[in-house]
Amino acid sequence: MKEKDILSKWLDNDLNEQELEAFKQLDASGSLHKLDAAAKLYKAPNFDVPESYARLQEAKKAKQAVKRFTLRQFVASAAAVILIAFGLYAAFFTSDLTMHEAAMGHHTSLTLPDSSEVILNAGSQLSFDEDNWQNDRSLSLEGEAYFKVAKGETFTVATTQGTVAVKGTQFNVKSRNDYFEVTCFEGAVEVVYNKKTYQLPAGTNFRVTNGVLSEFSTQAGIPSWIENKSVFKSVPYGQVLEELERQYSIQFVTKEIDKNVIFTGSFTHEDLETALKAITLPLLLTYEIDETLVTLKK
Amino acid sequence: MFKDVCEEHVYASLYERHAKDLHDFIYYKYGAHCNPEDKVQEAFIKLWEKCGEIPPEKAKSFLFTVANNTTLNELKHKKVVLKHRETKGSSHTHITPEFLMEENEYLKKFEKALSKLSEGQRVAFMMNRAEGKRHKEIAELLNISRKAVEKRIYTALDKLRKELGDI
Repeated sequence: MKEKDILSKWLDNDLNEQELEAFKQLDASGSLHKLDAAAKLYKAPNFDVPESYARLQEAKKAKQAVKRFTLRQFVASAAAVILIAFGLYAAFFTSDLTMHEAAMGHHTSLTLPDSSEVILNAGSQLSFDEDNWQNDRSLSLEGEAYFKVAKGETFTVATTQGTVAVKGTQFNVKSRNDYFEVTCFEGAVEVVYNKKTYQLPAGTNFRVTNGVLSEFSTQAGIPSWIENKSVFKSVPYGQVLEELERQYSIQFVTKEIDKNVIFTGSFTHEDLETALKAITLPLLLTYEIDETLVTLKK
Repeated sequence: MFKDVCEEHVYASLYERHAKDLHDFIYYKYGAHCNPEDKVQEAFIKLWEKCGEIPPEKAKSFLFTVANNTTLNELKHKKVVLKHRETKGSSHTHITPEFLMEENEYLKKFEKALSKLSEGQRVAFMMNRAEGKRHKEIAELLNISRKAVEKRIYTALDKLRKELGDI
């Protein structure tokens, strides 16, 4: 047998006894044997398979994100998917309501199915039945919104405090805690409050504060908040603070501040410091800003 | 239904079959400081997470690729130095200090020579010499041809002998 063949057989751990003898003669100096022995000293550390498998099981348990998909679970999930699909179908295509929301510090505008336009002020929600619009032309509002009704269209806006019926007009509805205000800018609206009906011609502002009704006239063409400004005319100070909280997504900390003081004035939606000055200076108050907390002091 | 890696017994048998080889592969390729045991765990956890996507026959190459990649991401080509194990056994009890010195010298040289091999050569050579694997087995493990394995082993042997002053 050739030297090379023996060597290659040795390297493949494939020598029979005879060949092993031949190899030993070939490796008379023992240098290959020594090298081989050295290599075996550099063997990788023992790897305990069962022990490491147990550790792996622990690690797997810790990672609970794992999903197992057996046939039964597949059927179950498929069933769940179908149920959810039906649920979504029911939610969006049958009698349920479409909801629009303006987050704190933001305005949202939307178009109603009759192409009337609505702009929602910060922290307001408007919902209506989009698919049943032909039969049920009513909107429900929490907060404040400006409506620009398409010509010849009618609908009603329901709030927790009163209902507003409209016909081809532009008007603003504000319904906040203990505060209900409807301003008509164009055309005419009908307000139902406490089972009584009030007719509002253009340029009228109808307001209920803590159960007290009042009417003002207004020269404005659109609500001021559309132009990023909040204007108040004889409004309780508490309402002003709440509006500022909504526009800037902040929280007021007020101690010893009389929230029933009547305030007339305005603030911008574009700069918090300017807005705060505008509402604190007239009442001789000071403010401190700490991220989203604003403390008012006398 | 086809056999699924998600089934515990399939998964366990994959571990039984490949975990040690995977460990040795990482160890010989990159050395002890990269914690080959952790790499094995990581690779098998990834396999578990993707058990639905990987058929059992692809599991081995998946494991080797994942373990290799995670190790590579960790090391930026540090020099690999394998450490020899504590020599023990009766043959070493009555040894003259000279012989011990000589042997230590030899092992030092061997260690250095081993670290000079390419990763592929070292893995193939050590799988063969230290783990006693046949060329065919190594070829399957590394997904290369038997010829390629033999070439790596011969080259490794040549280099080592030269470094050790054998030839």
